Amino acid sequence: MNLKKLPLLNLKRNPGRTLALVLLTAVLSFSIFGGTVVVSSLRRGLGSLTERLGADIIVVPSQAQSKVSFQDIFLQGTVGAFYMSRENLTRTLEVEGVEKAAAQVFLASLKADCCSIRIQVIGIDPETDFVIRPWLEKSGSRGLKDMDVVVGTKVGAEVGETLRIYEERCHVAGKLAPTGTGLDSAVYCNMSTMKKLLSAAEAKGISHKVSSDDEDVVSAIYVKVKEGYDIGKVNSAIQGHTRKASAIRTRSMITDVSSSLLAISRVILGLIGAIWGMGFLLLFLAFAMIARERQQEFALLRVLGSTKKALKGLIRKEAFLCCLSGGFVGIGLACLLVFPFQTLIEMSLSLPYLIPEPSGLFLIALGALGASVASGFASSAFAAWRLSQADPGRLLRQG
Amino acid sequence: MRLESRSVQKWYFRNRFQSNRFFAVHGADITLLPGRVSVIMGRSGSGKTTLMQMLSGLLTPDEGKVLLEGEDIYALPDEKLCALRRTRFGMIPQGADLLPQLTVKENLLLPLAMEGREKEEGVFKMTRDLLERLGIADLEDVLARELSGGERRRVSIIRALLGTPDFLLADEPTSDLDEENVSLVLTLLKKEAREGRGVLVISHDQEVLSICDDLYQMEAGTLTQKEDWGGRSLLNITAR
Repeated sequence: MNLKKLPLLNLKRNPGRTLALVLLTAVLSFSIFGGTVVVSSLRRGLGSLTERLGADIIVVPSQAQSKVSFQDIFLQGTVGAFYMSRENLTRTLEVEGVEKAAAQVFLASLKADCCSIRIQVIGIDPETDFVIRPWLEKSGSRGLKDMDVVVGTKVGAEVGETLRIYEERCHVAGKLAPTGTGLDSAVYCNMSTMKKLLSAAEAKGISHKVSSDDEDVVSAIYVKVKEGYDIGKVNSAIQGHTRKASAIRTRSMITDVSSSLLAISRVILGLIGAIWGMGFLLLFLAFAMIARERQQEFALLRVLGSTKKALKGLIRKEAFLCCLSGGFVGIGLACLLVFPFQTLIEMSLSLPYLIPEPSGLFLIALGALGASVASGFASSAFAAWRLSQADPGRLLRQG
Repeated sequence: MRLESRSVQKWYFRNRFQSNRFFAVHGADITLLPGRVSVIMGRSGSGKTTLMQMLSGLLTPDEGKVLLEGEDIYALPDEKLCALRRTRFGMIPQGADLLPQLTVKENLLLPLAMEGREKEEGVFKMTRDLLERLGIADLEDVLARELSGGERRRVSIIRALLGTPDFLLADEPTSDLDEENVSLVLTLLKKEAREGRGVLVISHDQEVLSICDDLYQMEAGTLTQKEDWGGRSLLNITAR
């Protein structure tokens, strides 16, 4: 018999009581860890979106507003395509205040024999691109050769494999780091490859032409505004100078996402608060009831010479062990929900969603564990104090 | 070495407005000496247990003092008072006498573990001897919650003896025991007294008088020593 083992023995030999306390604490850590991971992922997704947009203005065809919108492609990975004349790139570059402009061309593959998978293909010009290229370089993809593609993290193809798009065989040259946006579901190629793919699609009856004589098309133009220029004014100027195109300020897109994120974060944080509050109250009541049930046991310990301090220590140690185990259980359960159902959460929220790095997750887990243990300590403090103050003689007499 | 109470009083209030005070113990004087068995008899609710709890440092008297070798034990800080209970007093309480979730062996060694003495030389042998002597050697690894009342009582007695205390304070040590075990326990208590311990027994059981050196009668909180007691006759004792 070792006195240090007494709390562990108490917990082990009262499995029902211990399980109830562990589950109660698990609810706390589950809500704290799960909720924080979701909120952090949304915030990280917004950060990634801001970084990936990398432009002040995006010019898209007017039809994109009503067809598959650019925002859907960008945020949710919806597969789609829309085109406008490449002339708009030249016209955009002519507007005063435009520092640089880079075009992208979209193509949606088919879920048919001609294509391996239905996917969004995005053609970029590596010479002028300032949006995708830094990301490609960050992910270790050096340049894009003809018929090479680099795939987003969610595309089911690995480096070295071949993707068939409209019967054209493209070599997967790299895989990109996750962004939490719709871009993770796309593949990227250079403009020369894109031209071949557009022709191949044309042969299958998927036309990209905006008019019979205009084959040179773009889908989006990313614009960086010169320092000191008013982005709003440049945006209006581009809108007026381009044809059949809409200029969207990226800030408004981010603001939309940010407002949705704020609203969802508030709901999640409110829920965490409510669950935590309820869990804490239940833990408090559970400890108070257990203390009442065990007052004879504590009175006996006092009879045998246990100090008030030692009794408090015993209750605290039991609370610590219960809450620590409950904390781990809750985090484990939250992991089983948050990670395997990540795509479902992302889809139902319709917002950029990027799970934190392992180091970030570790810190959140540590915080959730700390909060659970602290809640356990705080909720058991009253019971510990009351028991240690009780007169053992009186308690024994009541028995 | 002596443990004594000097005019100790303990009162309670029977209603929440703290009027209607009643005395559980009213000015009790008792002295426990090594080598002697003192017995307090009296009917239920007369204050015997309250007095024993005050003597053992468990219940602070409202008036009077409890002195161990002349020192007021209630003037000691909690740590020292607890150390006294662990090292000088062996308590056999009534009611909640064992921790239900521990085995017999764990219960027995608990007070020694508090002092870090559970692995001391001789403890194992002494435990075995006492368990065998009281006929519960086969229960060593049984959880206390699975024991009968009599078995619990015997475990609680062994636990008090294992610490080799200066004073043994036993509250109804023979309750729940059969005739044979009553005799065994009383012999054991007498033996402890012979070895130099002061023994206090609170009991209803007339059998206890067979080992009694000093007899006290408790009635409505008032303690009276039976001066003419010499173990000669039971006729003067009113043990209801």
